[in-house]
Amino acid sequence: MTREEALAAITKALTETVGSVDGDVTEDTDLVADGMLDSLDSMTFLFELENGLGTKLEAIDETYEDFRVGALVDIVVQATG
Amino acid sequence: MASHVLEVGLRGTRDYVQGSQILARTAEMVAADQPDAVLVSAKFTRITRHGVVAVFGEDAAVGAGEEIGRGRFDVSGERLEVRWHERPGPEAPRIDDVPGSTSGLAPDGAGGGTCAFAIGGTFESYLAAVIEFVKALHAGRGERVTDIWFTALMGARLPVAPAYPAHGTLTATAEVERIAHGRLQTLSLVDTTGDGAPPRYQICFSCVIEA
Repeated sequence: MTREEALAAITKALTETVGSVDGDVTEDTDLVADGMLDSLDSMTFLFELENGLGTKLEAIDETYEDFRVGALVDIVVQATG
Repeated sequence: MASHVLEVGLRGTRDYVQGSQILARTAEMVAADQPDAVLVSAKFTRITRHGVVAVFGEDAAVGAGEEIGRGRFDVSGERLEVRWHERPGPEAPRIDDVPGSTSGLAPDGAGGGTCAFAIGGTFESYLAAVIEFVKALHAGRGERVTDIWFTALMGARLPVAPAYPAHGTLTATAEVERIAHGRLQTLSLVDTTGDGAPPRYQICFSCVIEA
């Protein structure tokens, strides 16, 4: 998966989680710090992301805290080859 | 539908108003006008031992206290949003506990499991069974698991009408676990069998696991 495709998958999971997204989601966006997700939403977001990708993201364990989109893109690209 | 005070109480020995009561009283209110409505999602951000006010749509929460959660119903394809606020004043009255409705708990060793249920077929009895079940799975994680709270459900199509099977099975599949603010948060998928069983949905709990 390319970075663009990974960004699209992340944006889709975000939309599935919160319904609609105000403004653009870029690799500089921090989904938690920018107020798009709270801790409960982050659970749903990760579920939707893994579900959409059809694969578990092993790099994201129960203590994972980095919700910068750029970091998530790195993980998705690595996990999907 | 404006704002409505919900008739909720502190059930049994609990020192908080159960989310299932808040959802059930709200669902009954919605069902009175729209019996075909379904609950799609609900999220609780804190608990309360006081009364609860349901505020529908964009109405202002006049006279209500802090927001404790939000939910969404689907009414004939239209969204109906609700916010729940604490009701300032005395504690909610104490009310009788109800007997458990699940049996044969069988954990799967991975945070999920199955059980059987026998209920009255109402929204509240079904939700109470699900919460009893998932709570028991969390309690079974170890001796030092405390403060197990139902926090959210998403992606649901739970009828507000009494359309639930009287008997059936529940299966929970653990999907996501996270640690936030010193609490373990979990997301599980819930599958229900039985006549007229609702489709799969996601449920979230949080708990404290002491080292």
